[in-house]
Amino acid sequence: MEALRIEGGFRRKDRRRQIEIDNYVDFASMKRITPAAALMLASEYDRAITIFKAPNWLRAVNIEKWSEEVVTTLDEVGFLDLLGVDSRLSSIVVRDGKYIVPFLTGAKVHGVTIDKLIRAMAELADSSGGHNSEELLQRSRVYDGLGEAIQNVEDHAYPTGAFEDEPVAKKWWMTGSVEPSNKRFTVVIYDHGVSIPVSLPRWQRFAEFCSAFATTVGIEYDPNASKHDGEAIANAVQLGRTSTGKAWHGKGLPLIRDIVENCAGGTLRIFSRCGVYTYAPGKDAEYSSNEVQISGTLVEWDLFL
Amino acid sequence: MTIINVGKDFSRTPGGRRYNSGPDSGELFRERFLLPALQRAVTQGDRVFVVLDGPRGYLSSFLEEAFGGLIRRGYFTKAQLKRHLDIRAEDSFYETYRRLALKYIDEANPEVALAG
Repeated sequence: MEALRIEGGFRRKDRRRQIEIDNYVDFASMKRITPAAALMLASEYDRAITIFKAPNWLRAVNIEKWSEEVVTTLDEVGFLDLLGVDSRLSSIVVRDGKYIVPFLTGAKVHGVTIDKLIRAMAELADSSGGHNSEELLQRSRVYDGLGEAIQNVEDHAYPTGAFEDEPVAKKWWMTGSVEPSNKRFTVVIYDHGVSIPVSLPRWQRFAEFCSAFATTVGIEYDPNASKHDGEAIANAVQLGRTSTGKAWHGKGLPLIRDIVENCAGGTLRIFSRCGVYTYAPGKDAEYSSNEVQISGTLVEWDLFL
Repeated sequence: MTIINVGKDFSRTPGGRRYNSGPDSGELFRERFLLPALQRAVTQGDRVFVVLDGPRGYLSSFLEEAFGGLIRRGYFTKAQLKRHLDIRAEDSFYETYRRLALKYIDEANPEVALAG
């Protein structure tokens, strides 16, 4: 959550468009960072570059004092490159038995980009003793899950008029990591959109959703209140799974969940605004709501193939 | 008989729903491949075979727009598609997509009045 607070602080800072003021990045106090959090940071800086033409006015300082692990993870995800800091890596290297693929970004459902991530992860796995990783990833339908997540971004994340006061890049960012010895593949996709809880009123089955939410939570659904975001996401996923054939563009959510069913094991986590939804096959879905919100939605699949 | 092999004739990486969703969308596949082939087939009393094998995978939105869209857009009736469209999946991996495509045709309702 430390990374999320930093991310939120950055967004407040660049909103003021204080180009002439000295803007700098110093993560010397950060001890560790996960690839998912690094992706979120990278996305914020990519947004700053897209909208405010950073890094002409944004620079990294005190890098020599940053934790080695933090610098390396940020480097591997591609974050340092955004800041104009020369990468110390000539290629993707294994660290603690794990590879991280530099982030990819886009603004549309771009199958070639999804394919690129899958191929990169498969090549890394097979270069360290894995076999048929590309086939395993295909059979797990990772392509479909990432595609559904991106289609959800396209359909719901950036509605017209939602970001008039706060410019967003209207993009998605994704990365992946590979732990060949455990046949473990982690895929993360993030967007800066309005979030699932906020987008729910635009969905075709919102009335049914409200009814289900009222039954399970005991109160009327209010998209402006974030206290029950976890329950909101869980109800949206469940409603999609019990769909009785009506056209509903929200059906992507259960398909996103189903990827973990196609694997030997794994976990799906969805963070959206304050909500956290976790699903692992054979277990009941878990959900909760944090006090600190993230901007948008992050989906993470942790897969054992 | 017309055979459309999605992976070879269209794309190994099918995209999302509409043209504006990005490249290789379900709408593009429907309008550029399915629609003209089916119009010919209906006129000539022939059949169109669509082979789903080959691509990396499919999004539900692609399949719904490509196949369900044939009904929704009022291009054909379900009876016409039953007579003239044959969706194939040789590999069991693609059978899931075949069933989804058929489901989307079955669930779709015309949004515009059928001509003629």
